[in-house]
Amino acid sequence: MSPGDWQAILLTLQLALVSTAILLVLGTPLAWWLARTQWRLKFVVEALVALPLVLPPTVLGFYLLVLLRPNSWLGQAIESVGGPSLVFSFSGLVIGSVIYSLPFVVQPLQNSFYAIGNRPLEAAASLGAKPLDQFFSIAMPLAKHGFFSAAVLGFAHTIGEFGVVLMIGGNIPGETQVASIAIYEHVESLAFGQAHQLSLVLLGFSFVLLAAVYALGRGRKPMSVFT
Amino acid sequence: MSLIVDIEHRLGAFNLRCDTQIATQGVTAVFGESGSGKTTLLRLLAGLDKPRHGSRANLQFRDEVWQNSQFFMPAWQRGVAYVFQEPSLFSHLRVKDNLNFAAKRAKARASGKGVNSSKGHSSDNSTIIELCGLSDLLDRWPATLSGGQQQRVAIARALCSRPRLLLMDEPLSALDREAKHRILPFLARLKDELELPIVYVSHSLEEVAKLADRMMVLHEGDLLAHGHIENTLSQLNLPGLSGHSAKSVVKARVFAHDSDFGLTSLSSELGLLHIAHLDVPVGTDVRVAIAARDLSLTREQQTGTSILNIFAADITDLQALDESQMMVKLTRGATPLLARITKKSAHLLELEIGQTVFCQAKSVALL
Repeated sequence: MSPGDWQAILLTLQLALVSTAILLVLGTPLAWWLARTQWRLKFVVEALVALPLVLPPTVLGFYLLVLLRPNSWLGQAIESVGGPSLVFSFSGLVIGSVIYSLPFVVQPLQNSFYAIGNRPLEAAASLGAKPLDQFFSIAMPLAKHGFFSAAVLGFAHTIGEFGVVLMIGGNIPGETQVASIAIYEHVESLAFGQAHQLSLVLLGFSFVLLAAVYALGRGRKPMSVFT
Repeated sequence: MSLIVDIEHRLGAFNLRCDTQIATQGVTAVFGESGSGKTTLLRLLAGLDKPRHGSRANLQFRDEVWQNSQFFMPAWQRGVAYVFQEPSLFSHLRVKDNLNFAAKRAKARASGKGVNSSKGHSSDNSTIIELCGLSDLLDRWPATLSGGQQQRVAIARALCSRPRLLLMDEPLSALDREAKHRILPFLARLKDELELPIVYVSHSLEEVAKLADRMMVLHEGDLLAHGHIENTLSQLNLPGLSGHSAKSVVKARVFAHDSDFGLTSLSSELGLLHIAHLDVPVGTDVRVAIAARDLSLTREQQTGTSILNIFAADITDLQALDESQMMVKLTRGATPLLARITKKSAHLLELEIGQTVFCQAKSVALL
Protein backbone atom coordinates (compact mmCIF):
# COMPACT_ATOMS: atom_id res chain seq x y z
CA MET A 1 0.00 0.00 0.00
CA SER A 2 1.11 3.53 -0.68
CA PRO A 3 2.03 5.95 2.12
CA GLY A 4 -1.12 7.83 1.24
CA ASP A 5 -3.22 4.75 1.91
CA TRP A 6 -1.53 4.15 5.25
CA GLN A 7 -2.19 7.75 6.14
CA ALA A 8 -5.86 7.30 5.27
CA ILE A 9 -6.12 4.20 7.47
CA LEU A 10 -4.38 5.96 10.34
CA LEU A 11 -6.68 8.94 10.02
CA THR A 12 -9.70 6.65 9.94
CA LEU A 13 -8.64 4.93 13.16
CA GLN A 14 -7.92 8.27 14.77
CA LEU A 15 -11.33 9.59 13.81
CA ALA A 16 -13.06 6.44 15.06
CA LEU A 17 -11.22 6.51 18.38
CA VAL A 18 -11.89 10.16 19.11
CA SER A 19 -15.53 9.87 18.02
CA THR A 20 -16.11 6.74 20.11
CA ALA A 21 -14.64 8.37 23.20
CA ILE A 22 -16.84 11.43 22.77
CA LEU A 23 -19.86 9.25 21.99
CA LEU A 24 -19.44 7.23 25.19
CA VAL A 25 -19.17 10.38 27.27
CA LEU A 26 -22.22 12.01 25.68
CA GLY A 27 -24.20 8.86 24.96
CA THR A 28 -24.08 7.37 28.45
CA PRO A 29 -26.03 10.09 30.27
CA LEU A 30 -28.39 10.39 27.30
CA ALA A 31 -29.05 6.63 27.26
CA TRP A 32 -29.45 6.58 31.06
CA TRP A 33 -31.93 9.39 30.91
CA LEU A 34 -33.88 7.75 28.06
CA ALA A 35 -33.98 4.45 29.90
CA ARG A 36 -35.34 5.96 33.11
CA THR A 37 -37.39 9.04 32.30
CA GLN A 38 -41.17 8.98 32.47
CA TRP A 39 -41.38 12.10 30.33
CA ARG A 40 -44.21 11.67 27.84
CA LEU A 41 -42.33 13.45 25.04
CA LYS A 42 -39.28 11.23 25.30
CA PHE A 43 -40.21 9.60 21.97
CA VAL A 44 -39.24 12.85 20.25
CA VAL A 45 -35.72 12.57 21.62
CA GLU A 46 -35.60 8.87 20.74
CA ALA A 47 -36.65 9.64 17.16
CA LEU A 48 -33.99 12.35 16.87
CA VAL A 49 -31.30 9.98 18.14
CA ALA A 50 -32.43 7.29 15.68
CA LEU A 51 -32.57 9.61 12.66
CA PRO A 52 -29.05 8.80 11.40
CA LEU A 53 -30.17 5.16 11.07
CA VAL A 54 -32.52 6.03 8.22
CA LEU A 55 -31.35 9.36 6.87
CA PRO A 56 -29.04 9.28 3.82
CA PRO A 57 -25.65 10.34 5.19
CA THR A 58 -25.47 12.97 2.49
CA VAL A 59 -28.52 14.69 3.95
CA LEU A 60 -26.91 14.76 7.36
CA GLY A 61 -23.65 15.98 5.85
CA PHE A 62 -25.42 18.64 3.81
CA TYR A 63 -27.16 20.12 6.85
CA LEU A 64 -23.94 20.05 8.84
CA LEU A 65 -22.19 21.82 6.00
CA VAL A 66 -24.89 24.49 5.90
CA LEU A 67 -24.80 24.85 9.66
CA LEU A 68 -21.02 24.97 10.11
CA ARG A 69 -19.83 26.89 7.02
CA PRO A 70 -17.92 30.07 7.90
CA ASN A 71 -20.69 32.48 6.84
CA SER A 72 -23.48 30.71 8.76
CA TRP A 73 -24.56 32.12 12.14
CA LEU A 74 -22.95 29.20 13.94
CA GLY A 75 -19.79 29.48 11.86
CA GLN A 76 -19.67 33.21 12.61
CA ALA A 77 -20.18 32.56 16.30
CA ILE A 78 -17.34 30.01 16.36
CA GLU A 79 -15.09 32.35 14.48
CA SER A 80 -15.86 35.29 16.79
CA VAL A 81 -14.60 33.31 19.80
CA GLY A 82 -11.48 32.41 17.87
CA GLY A 83 -12.52 28.86 17.04
CA PRO A 84 -11.27 27.10 13.92
CA SER A 85 -13.32 26.65 10.82
CA LEU A 86 -15.07 23.29 11.15
CA VAL A 87 -15.78 22.48 7.53
CA PHE A 88 -13.11 20.59 5.64
CA SER A 89 -11.26 19.90 8.91
CA PHE A 90 -10.71 16.94 11.21
CA SER A 91 -12.79 18.60 13.97
CA GLY A 92 -15.69 18.87 11.53
CA LEU A 93 -15.37 15.16 10.77
CA VAL A 94 -15.52 14.35 14.47
CA ILE A 95 -18.73 16.35 14.87
CA GLY A 96 -20.24 14.64 11.87
CA SER A 97 -19.20 11.18 13.07
CA VAL A 98 -20.56 11.73 16.55
CA ILE A 99 -23.98 12.60 15.18
CA TYR A 100 -23.84 9.88 12.52
CA SER A 101 -22.94 7.10 14.98
CA LEU A 102 -25.02 8.32 17.93
CA PRO A 103 -27.80 5.70 17.66
CA PHE A 104 -25.22 2.91 17.52
CA VAL A 105 -23.94 3.93 20.93
CA VAL A 106 -27.12 5.16 22.62
CA GLN A 107 -29.34 2.21 21.70
CA PRO A 108 -27.23 -0.65 23.08
CA LEU A 109 -26.61 1.38 26.22
CA GLN A 110 -30.28 2.24 26.61
CA ASN A 111 -31.23 -1.42 26.11
CA SER A 112 -28.79 -2.67 28.70
CA PHE A 113 -29.93 -0.03 31.19
CA TYR A 114 -33.51 -1.20 30.58
CA ALA A 115 -32.45 -4.78 31.12
CA ILE A 116 -31.01 -4.02 34.54
CA GLY A 117 -34.42 -2.82 35.67
CA ASN A 118 -35.22 -0.74 38.71
CA ARG A 119 -34.73 -3.40 41.33
CA PRO A 120 -30.92 -3.39 41.79
CA LEU A 121 -31.02 0.40 41.96
CA GLU A 122 -33.80 0.36 44.54
CA ALA A 123 -31.88 -2.18 46.57
CA ALA A 124 -28.79 0.04 46.39
CA ALA A 125 -30.80 3.12 47.37
CA SER A 126 -32.28 1.37 50.37
CA LEU A 127 -28.74 0.42 51.41
CA GLY A 128 -27.77 4.09 51.43
CA ALA A 129 -26.28 4.56 47.95
CA LYS A 130 -26.78 8.02 46.44
CA PRO A 131 -27.92 8.33 42.81
CA LEU A 132 -24.40 8.78 41.32
CA ASP A 133 -23.13 5.96 43.51
CA GLN A 134 -26.00 3.77 42.26
CA PHE A 135 -24.97 4.53 38.70
CA PHE A 136 -21.25 3.92 39.05
CA SER A 137 -21.29 0.96 41.44
CA ILE A 138 -24.37 -0.87 40.19
CA ALA A 139 -25.67 0.26 36.80
CA MET A 140 -22.32 0.60 35.01
CA PRO A 141 -20.86 -2.77 35.99
CA LEU A 142 -24.16 -4.51 35.29
CA ALA A 143 -24.32 -2.85 31.86
CA LYS A 144 -20.71 -3.62 30.93
CA HIS A 145 -21.68 -5.70 27.90
CA GLY A 146 -23.83 -2.82 26.71
CA PHE A 147 -20.82 -0.51 26.98
CA PHE A 148 -18.68 -2.96 25.06
CA SER A 149 -21.24 -3.30 22.27
CA ALA A 150 -21.77 0.45 22.16
CA ALA A 151 -18.06 1.15 21.89
CA VAL A 152 -17.44 -1.46 19.18
CA LEU A 153 -20.50 -0.53 17.13
CA GLY A 154 -19.77 3.18 17.40
CA PHE A 155 -16.17 2.57 16.38
CA ALA A 156 -16.99 0.25 13.49
CA HIS A 157 -19.77 2.43 12.20
CA THR A 158 -17.52 5.47 12.16
CA ILE A 159 -14.98 3.55 10.14
CA GLY A 160 -17.65 2.80 7.55
CA GLU A 161 -18.70 6.43 7.25
CA PHE A 162 -18.61 7.95 3.75
CA GLY A 163 -21.37 10.38 2.83
CA VAL A 164 -21.08 12.67 5.81
CA VAL A 165 -17.32 12.87 5.41
CA LEU A 166 -17.61 13.62 1.74
CA MET A 167 -20.01 16.49 2.40
CA ILE A 168 -18.30 18.28 5.26
CA GLY A 169 -14.75 16.96 5.10
CA GLY A 170 -13.95 16.81 1.48
CA ASN A 171 -10.88 14.89 0.46
CA ILE A 172 -7.76 16.47 1.94
CA PRO A 173 -5.00 13.87 2.44
CA GLY A 174 -3.79 13.79 6.03
CA GLU A 175 -6.61 16.02 7.18
CA THR A 176 -9.96 14.63 6.03
CA GLN A 177 -9.15 11.82 3.61
CA VAL A 178 -10.33 8.71 5.48
CA ALA A 179 -10.08 5.17 4.09
CA SER A 180 -13.55 5.06 2.54
CA ILE A 181 -12.85 8.28 0.65
CA ALA A 182 -9.46 7.04 -0.46
CA ILE A 183 -11.07 3.88 -1.87
CA TYR A 184 -13.58 6.02 -3.74
CA GLU A 185 -10.78 8.05 -5.22
CA HIS A 186 -8.83 4.96 -6.31
CA VAL A 187 -11.90 3.66 -8.12
CA GLU A 188 -12.50 7.03 -9.74
CA SER A 189 -8.96 6.98 -11.10
CA LEU A 190 -9.37 3.31 -12.10
CA ALA A 191 -6.65 2.15 -9.64
CA PHE A 192 -8.54 -1.05 -8.86
CA GLY A 193 -5.55 -2.78 -7.30
CA GLN A 194 -5.14 -0.12 -4.64
CA ALA A 195 -8.88 0.00 -4.07
CA HIS A 196 -8.80 -3.77 -3.50
CA GLN A 197 -6.03 -3.60 -0.91
CA LEU A 198 -7.66 -0.88 1.12
CA SER A 199 -11.11 -2.46 0.87
CA LEU A 200 -9.76 -5.78 2.06
CA VAL A 201 -8.20 -4.15 5.11
CA LEU A 202 -11.50 -2.51 6.02
CA LEU A 203 -13.46 -5.70 5.42
CA GLY A 204 -11.15 -7.81 7.58
CA PHE A 205 -11.01 -5.26 10.34
CA SER A 206 -14.77 -4.77 10.50
CA PHE A 207 -15.38 -8.51 10.56
CA VAL A 208 -12.93 -9.07 13.40
CA LEU A 209 -14.58 -6.30 15.45
CA LEU A 210 -18.09 -7.62 15.00
CA ALA A 211 -16.99 -11.21 15.58
CA ALA A 212 -15.57 -10.07 18.91
CA VAL A 213 -18.89 -8.49 19.90
CA TYR A 214 -20.90 -11.59 19.03
CA ALA A 215 -18.36 -13.92 20.60
CA LEU A 216 -18.74 -12.04 23.85
CA GLY A 217 -22.50 -12.09 23.53
CA ARG A 218 -22.68 -15.88 23.15
CA GLY A 219 -25.37 -17.44 25.33
CA ARG A 220 -27.23 -14.19 25.65
CA LYS A 221 -30.23 -13.25 23.61
CA PRO A 222 -29.38 -12.11 20.07
CA MET A 223 -28.12 -8.59 20.05
CA SER A 224 -29.57 -5.99 17.78
CA VAL A 225 -29.01 -2.30 17.72
CA PHE A 226 -32.42 -1.73 16.27
CA THR A 227 -34.49 -3.02 19.18
CA MET B 1 -41.63 7.01 69.80
CA SER B 2 -42.99 5.58 66.62
CA LEU B 3 -43.31 5.86 62.88
CA ILE B 4 -46.23 8.17 62.22
CA VAL B 5 -47.99 7.32 58.99
CA ASP B 6 -50.67 9.38 57.29
CA ILE B 7 -51.20 8.21 53.75
CA GLU B 8 -53.83 8.70 51.12
CA HIS B 9 -52.38 7.23 47.96
CA ARG B 10 -54.22 6.91 44.66
CA LEU B 11 -53.08 4.48 42.00
CA GLY B 12 -55.70 4.39 39.28
CA ALA B 13 -58.84 2.95 40.81
CA PHE B 14 -56.92 1.75 43.85
CA ASN B 15 -56.79 3.93 46.93
CA LEU B 16 -54.60 3.24 49.93
CA ARG B 17 -55.70 4.93 53.13
CA CYS B 18 -53.60 4.51 56.21
CA ASP B 19 -53.47 6.74 59.25
CA THR B 20 -51.68 5.10 62.14
CA GLN B 21 -48.55 4.86 64.23
CA ILE B 22 -46.19 1.95 63.76
CA ALA B 23 -44.19 0.92 66.80
CA THR B 24 -40.44 1.33 66.46
CA GLN B 25 -39.68 -1.82 68.36
CA GLY B 26 -40.49 -5.44 67.69
CA VAL B 27 -42.10 -6.85 64.60
CA THR B 28 -45.19 -5.29 63.08
CA ALA B 29 -46.82 -7.53 60.50
CA VAL B 30 -48.76 -6.03 57.63
CA PHE B 31 -51.29 -8.69 56.74
CA GLY B 32 -53.72 -8.81 53.85
CA GLU B 33 -54.60 -10.58 50.62
CA SER B 34 -52.73 -9.74 47.45
CA GLY B 35 -53.93 -6.41 46.11
CA SER B 36 -54.69 -5.09 49.58
CA GLY B 37 -51.95 -2.47 49.36
CA LYS B 38 -49.28 -4.05 51.54
CA THR B 39 -46.38 -3.58 49.15
CA THR B 40 -47.58 -0.11 48.19
CA LEU B 41 -47.48 0.88 51.85
CA LEU B 42 -44.02 -0.59 52.36
CA ARG B 43 -42.58 1.16 49.28
CA LEU B 44 -43.95 4.48 50.47
CA LEU B 45 -42.36 3.94 53.87
CA ALA B 46 -39.02 3.17 52.21
CA GLY B 47 -39.19 6.21 49.94
CA LEU B 48 -39.02 4.01 46.83
CA ASP B 49 -42.25 5.51 45.51
CA LYS B 50 -43.28 9.12 45.61
CA PRO B 51 -46.97 9.89 46.01
CA ARG B 52 -48.28 11.39 42.81
CA HIS B 53 -50.43 14.38 42.26
CA GLY B 54 -53.58 14.21 44.37
CA SER B 55 -52.04 11.80 46.82
CA ARG B 56 -50.73 12.52 50.25
CA ALA B 57 -48.09 10.85 52.37
CA ASN B 58 -46.91 12.28 55.64
CA LEU B 59 -44.28 10.22 57.36
CA GLN B 60 -42.35 10.92 60.51
CA PHE B 61 -39.89 8.48 62.03
CA ARG B 62 -39.38 9.25 65.71
CA ASP B 63 -38.61 12.99 65.65
CA GLU B 64 -37.39 13.07 62.04
CA VAL B 65 -39.71 14.12 59.22
CA TRP B 66 -39.36 11.80 56.22
CA GLN B 67 -42.00 13.21 54.05
CA ASN B 68 -44.75 15.80 53.94
CA SER B 69 -46.37 18.00 51.33
CA GLN B 70 -43.22 20.10 50.90
CA PHE B 71 -40.47 17.67 51.69
CA PHE B 72 -39.35 14.26 50.47
CA MET B 73 -36.39 12.48 51.97
CA PRO B 74 -34.94 10.11 49.36
CA ALA B 75 -34.67 6.40 50.14
CA TRP B 76 -30.91 6.48 50.54
CA GLN B 77 -31.14 8.98 53.39
CA ARG B 78 -33.78 7.23 55.47
CA GLY B 79 -31.64 4.51 56.98
CA VAL B 80 -34.28 1.97 56.07
CA ALA B 81 -33.29 -1.40 54.64
CA TYR B 82 -35.68 -3.21 52.36
CA VAL B 83 -35.77 -6.96 51.80
CA PHE B 84 -37.67 -7.67 48.60
CA GLN B 85 -39.71 -10.71 47.66
CA GLU B 86 -36.92 -11.80 45.35
CA PRO B 87 -33.41 -11.64 46.84
CA SER B 88 -32.30 -8.87 44.44
CA LEU B 89 -28.60 -9.41 45.09
CA PHE B 90 -26.04 -7.54 43.02
CA SER B 91 -25.10 -10.22 40.50
CA HIS B 92 -21.73 -8.65 39.68
CA LEU B 93 -20.55 -8.85 43.29
CA ARG B 94 -19.62 -11.88 45.37
CA VAL B 95 -21.56 -12.54 48.56
CA LYS B 96 -18.99 -10.79 50.74
CA ASP B 97 -18.95 -7.76 48.44
CA ASN B 98 -22.72 -7.58 48.52
CA LEU B 99 -22.41 -7.34 52.31
CA ASN B 100 -19.54 -4.86 52.10
CA PHE B 101 -21.52 -2.67 49.75
CA ALA B 102 -24.04 -2.14 52.52
CA ALA B 103 -21.52 -1.91 55.34
CA LYS B 104 -19.39 0.70 53.57
CA ARG B 105 -22.32 3.01 52.98
CA ALA B 106 -23.57 2.54 56.52
CA LYS B 107 -20.18 3.63 57.77
CA ALA B 108 -20.15 6.66 55.50
CA ARG B 109 -23.59 7.66 56.68
CA ALA B 110 -22.67 7.21 60.34
CA SER B 111 -19.46 9.24 60.05
CA GLY B 112 -21.23 11.89 57.98
CA LYS B 113 -23.68 12.38 60.78
CA GLY B 114 -21.01 12.22 63.46
CA VAL B 115 -22.60 9.11 64.89
CA ASN B 116 -20.37 6.52 66.43
CA SER B 117 -20.88 3.65 64.02
CA SER B 118 -19.96 0.99 66.54
CA LYS B 119 -22.54 2.15 69.00
CA GLY B 120 -24.87 -0.65 69.93
CA HIS B 121 -23.33 -3.23 67.63
CA SER B 122 -19.94 -4.41 66.54
CA SER B 123 -18.54 -2.46 63.62
CA ASP B 124 -17.76 -5.43 61.40
CA ASN B 125 -20.05 -7.86 59.68
CA SER B 126 -18.87 -11.02 61.39
CA THR B 127 -21.76 -11.18 63.84
CA ILE B 128 -24.26 -10.85 61.03
CA ILE B 129 -22.42 -13.38 58.86
CA GLU B 130 -22.51 -15.87 61.71
CA LEU B 131 -26.12 -15.15 62.58
CA CYS B 132 -27.16 -15.68 58.98
CA GLY B 133 -24.95 -18.75 58.54
CA LEU B 134 -23.02 -17.35 55.59
CA SER B 135 -19.42 -18.11 56.59
CA ASP B 136 -19.01 -20.76 53.87
CA LEU B 137 -20.70 -18.73 51.16
CA LEU B 138 -18.72 -15.49 51.28
CA ASP B 139 -16.69 -16.12 48.12
CA ARG B 140 -19.59 -17.42 46.08
CA TRP B 141 -21.37 -15.56 43.28
CA PRO B 142 -25.08 -14.93 43.91
CA ALA B 143 -26.08 -16.93 40.83
CA THR B 144 -24.55 -20.09 42.33
CA LEU B 145 -26.67 -19.99 45.50
CA SER B 146 -30.03 -21.61 46.16
CA GLY B 147 -33.09 -19.42 46.61
CA GLY B 148 -33.01 -19.82 50.37
CA GLN B 149 -29.31 -18.98 50.56
CA GLN B 150 -29.80 -15.93 48.37
CA GLN B 151 -32.58 -14.64 50.58
CA ARG B 152 -30.37 -15.15 53.65
CA VAL B 153 -27.67 -13.08 51.96
CA ALA B 154 -30.26 -10.42 51.14
CA ILE B 155 -31.32 -10.29 54.79
CA ALA B 156 -27.70 -10.17 55.94
CA ARG B 157 -26.98 -7.40 53.44
CA ALA B 158 -29.92 -5.41 54.78
CA LEU B 159 -28.61 -5.86 58.34
CA CYS B 160 -25.08 -4.80 57.30
CA SER B 161 -26.47 -1.41 56.31
CA ARG B 162 -27.20 -0.83 60.03
CA PRO B 163 -30.77 0.23 59.33
CA ARG B 164 -32.94 2.06 61.79
CA LEU B 165 -35.92 0.20 60.41
CA LEU B 166 -36.06 -3.06 58.47
CA LEU B 167 -38.82 -3.50 55.90
CA MET B 168 -39.49 -7.02 54.64
CA ASP B 169 -41.85 -7.65 51.74
CA GLU B 170 -42.92 -11.31 51.85
CA PRO B 171 -39.31 -12.44 52.04
CA LEU B 172 -40.32 -16.10 52.12
CA SER B 173 -42.98 -16.16 49.44
CA ALA B 174 -40.60 -16.92 46.56
CA LEU B 175 -39.07 -19.88 48.41
CA ASP B 176 -40.11 -23.51 48.34
CA ARG B 177 -41.69 -25.09 51.39
CA GLU B 178 -38.50 -26.62 52.68
CA ALA B 179 -36.47 -23.41 52.45
CA LYS B 180 -39.33 -21.57 54.10
CA HIS B 181 -39.26 -23.86 57.09
CA ARG B 182 -35.54 -23.37 57.45
CA ILE B 183 -35.64 -19.57 57.24
CA LEU B 184 -38.68 -18.95 59.43
CA PRO B 185 -36.96 -20.03 62.68
CA PHE B 186 -33.94 -18.03 61.57
CA LEU B 187 -36.09 -14.92 61.26
CA ALA B 188 -37.57 -15.57 64.69
CA ARG B 189 -34.06 -15.77 66.13
CA LEU B 190 -33.06 -12.61 64.30
CA LYS B 191 -35.97 -10.78 65.80
CA ASP B 192 -34.97 -11.89 69.31
CA GLU B 193 -31.31 -11.04 68.96
CA LEU B 194 -31.54 -7.67 67.27
CA GLU B 195 -33.03 -4.57 68.69
CA LEU B 196 -34.34 -3.53 65.34
CA PRO B 197 -37.89 -2.57 64.48
CA ILE B 198 -39.20 -4.65 61.59
CA VAL B 199 -42.23 -4.12 59.38
CA TYR B 200 -43.04 -7.49 57.86
CA VAL B 201 -45.46 -7.80 54.97
CA SER B 202 -47.09 -11.19 54.56
CA HIS B 203 -50.24 -12.94 53.50
CA SER B 204 -49.30 -16.04 55.48
CA LEU B 205 -50.99 -16.30 58.86
CA GLU B 206 -48.38 -18.86 59.87
CA GLU B 207 -45.51 -16.40 59.43
CA VAL B 208 -47.39 -13.56 61.06
CA ALA B 209 -48.37 -15.62 64.10
CA LYS B 210 -44.81 -16.79 64.54
CA LEU B 211 -42.99 -13.51 64.14
CA ALA B 212 -45.19 -10.54 64.81
CA ASP B 213 -45.72 -8.62 68.02
CA ARG B 214 -48.22 -6.32 66.39
CA MET B 215 -50.34 -6.70 63.35
CA MET B 216 -51.92 -4.40 60.79
CA VAL B 217 -54.70 -5.77 58.62
CA LEU B 218 -55.13 -4.19 55.18
CA HIS B 219 -58.08 -4.88 52.93
CA GLU B 220 -58.54 -3.26 49.53
CA GLY B 221 -56.43 -0.32 50.62
CA ASP B 222 -58.11 0.22 53.98
CA LEU B 223 -56.44 -0.32 57.32
CA LEU B 224 -59.02 -2.43 59.16
CA ALA B 225 -57.11 -3.18 62.34
CA HIS B 226 -53.80 -2.48 64.02
CA GLY B 227 -52.87 -3.76 67.44
CA HIS B 228 -51.20 -6.46 69.47
CA ILE B 229 -51.11 -9.75 67.63
CA GLU B 230 -53.25 -11.70 70.12
CA ASN B 231 -55.99 -9.11 70.01
CA THR B 232 -55.91 -8.52 66.28
CA LEU B 233 -55.87 -12.22 65.45
CA SER B 234 -58.93 -12.79 67.59
CA GLN B 235 -60.96 -9.97 66.08
CA LEU B 236 -63.95 -11.31 64.29
CA ASN B 237 -65.00 -10.08 60.87
CA LEU B 238 -61.52 -9.42 59.59
CA PRO B 239 -61.01 -10.79 56.09
CA GLY B 240 -58.62 -13.68 55.97
CA LEU B 241 -58.69 -14.23 59.71
CA SER B 242 -62.12 -15.58 60.58
CA GLY B 243 -62.32 -18.54 58.24
CA HIS B 244 -60.70 -21.92 58.24
CA SER B 245 -57.29 -20.61 59.30
CA ALA B 246 -58.45 -18.63 62.35
CA LYS B 247 -56.21 -19.16 65.33
CA SER B 248 -55.28 -17.72 68.70
CA VAL B 249 -51.73 -16.91 69.74
CA VAL B 250 -50.76 -17.54 73.36
CA LYS B 251 -47.57 -16.30 74.98
CA ALA B 252 -46.04 -18.86 77.30
CA ARG B 253 -42.84 -19.82 79.08
CA VAL B 254 -41.23 -23.22 79.32
CA PHE B 255 -42.04 -24.47 82.83
CA ALA B 256 -40.78 -28.03 83.01
CA HIS B 257 -39.84 -31.06 80.94
CA ASP B 258 -41.53 -34.40 81.50
CA SER B 259 -39.06 -36.91 80.13
CA ASP B 260 -41.24 -39.90 81.08
CA PHE B 261 -43.90 -38.95 78.60
CA GLY B 262 -41.82 -36.80 76.23
CA LEU B 263 -43.78 -33.67 77.02
CA THR B 264 -42.94 -30.12 77.91
CA SER B 265 -45.23 -28.04 80.06
CA LEU B 266 -45.61 -24.32 79.53
CA SER B 267 -46.92 -21.74 81.95
CA SER B 268 -49.32 -19.23 80.47
CA GLU B 269 -52.33 -17.16 81.35
CA LEU B 270 -54.42 -20.16 80.43
CA GLY B 271 -52.68 -22.25 83.06
CA LEU B 272 -50.25 -25.06 82.35
CA LEU B 273 -50.22 -26.22 78.73
CA HIS B 274 -48.69 -29.50 77.62
CA ILE B 275 -47.01 -29.89 74.27
CA ALA B 276 -44.63 -32.36 72.67
CA HIS B 277 -41.10 -32.19 74.05
CA LEU B 278 -39.28 -28.95 73.26
CA ASP B 279 -35.53 -28.90 73.19
CA VAL B 280 -35.13 -25.54 74.94
CA PRO B 281 -34.17 -24.66 78.52
CA VAL B 282 -36.74 -24.03 81.23
CA GLY B 283 -37.62 -20.34 81.36
CA THR B 284 -37.51 -19.75 77.59
CA ASP B 285 -40.30 -17.58 76.20
CA VAL B 286 -42.28 -19.27 73.46
CA ARG B 287 -45.49 -18.74 71.54
CA VAL B 288 -48.09 -21.32 70.80
CA ALA B 289 -51.07 -21.26 68.50
CA ILE B 290 -54.43 -22.88 69.01
CA ALA B 291 -56.52 -23.19 65.88
CA ALA B 292 -60.12 -22.11 66.34
CA ARG B 293 -61.30 -25.42 64.88
CA ASP B 294 -59.27 -27.33 67.49
CA LEU B 295 -60.89 -25.63 70.48
CA SER B 296 -64.07 -27.23 71.80
CA LEU B 297 -66.23 -25.93 74.62
CA THR B 298 -67.95 -27.64 77.56
CA ARG B 299 -70.22 -26.24 80.28
CA GLU B 300 -68.68 -28.44 83.01
CA GLN B 301 -65.09 -29.46 83.33
CA GLN B 302 -64.71 -32.86 81.71
CA THR B 303 -62.93 -35.70 83.38
CA GLY B 304 -61.97 -38.94 81.79
CA THR B 305 -60.96 -37.29 78.55
CA SER B 306 -57.80 -37.81 76.52
CA ILE B 307 -57.42 -34.08 76.06
CA LEU B 308 -54.65 -32.64 78.23
CA ASN B 309 -55.11 -28.94 77.76
CA ILE B 310 -58.30 -27.81 79.44
CA PHE B 311 -58.84 -24.35 80.86
CA ALA B 312 -61.66 -22.01 81.77
CA ALA B 313 -62.43 -18.81 79.85
CA ASP B 314 -65.17 -16.21 79.57
CA ILE B 315 -67.26 -15.77 76.45
CA THR B 316 -66.99 -12.21 75.11
CA ASP B 317 -68.62 -12.51 71.70
CA LEU B 318 -70.58 -14.88 69.52
CA GLN B 319 -70.73 -14.54 65.77
CA ALA B 320 -72.29 -16.60 63.02
CA LEU B 321 -69.85 -17.57 60.26
CA ASP B 322 -72.24 -19.28 57.86
CA GLU B 323 -75.36 -21.45 57.97
CA SER B 324 -73.96 -24.01 60.35
CA GLN B 325 -70.81 -22.62 61.94
CA MET B 326 -70.15 -19.94 64.46
CA MET B 327 -67.13 -18.32 66.06
CA VAL B 328 -66.98 -17.90 69.83
CA LYS B 329 -64.61 -15.32 71.19
CA LEU B 330 -63.37 -15.88 74.71
CA THR B 331 -60.86 -14.38 77.05
CA ARG B 332 -58.77 -15.60 79.92
CA GLY B 333 -56.93 -12.75 81.61
CA ALA B 334 -55.55 -10.69 78.74
CA THR B 335 -55.39 -13.64 76.36
CA PRO B 336 -58.14 -13.74 73.73
CA LEU B 337 -59.18 -17.06 72.23
CA LEU B 338 -61.28 -18.20 69.31
CA ALA B 339 -63.36 -21.36 69.12
CA ARG B 340 -65.20 -22.45 66.01
CA ILE B 341 -68.18 -24.61 66.80
CA THR B 342 -71.50 -25.52 65.18
CA LYS B 343 -74.55 -23.39 65.71
CA LYS B 344 -76.28 -26.45 66.99
CA SER B 345 -73.71 -26.94 69.77
CA ALA B 346 -74.00 -23.31 70.78
CA HIS B 347 -77.75 -23.73 70.98
CA LEU B 348 -77.60 -26.99 72.97
CA LEU B 349 -75.04 -25.55 75.41
CA GLU B 350 -77.08 -22.34 75.70
CA LEU B 351 -73.93 -20.27 75.28
CA GLU B 352 -74.18 -16.57 75.95
CA ILE B 353 -71.86 -13.62 76.43
CA GLY B 354 -70.40 -13.37 79.93
CA GLN B 355 -70.61 -17.08 80.61
CA THR B 356 -67.59 -19.00 81.87
CA VAL B 357 -66.98 -22.23 79.99
CA PHE B 358 -64.23 -24.84 79.77
CA CYS B 359 -62.10 -24.97 76.65
CA GLN B 360 -60.53 -28.20 75.44
CA ALA B 361 -57.65 -27.68 73.05
CA LYS B 362 -57.23 -30.72 70.85
CA SER B 363 -53.84 -29.50 69.73
CA VAL B 364 -51.47 -26.78 70.79
CA ALA B 365 -48.79 -25.97 68.25
CA LEU B 366 -45.50 -24.30 68.90
CA LEU B 367 -44.94 -21.28 66.69
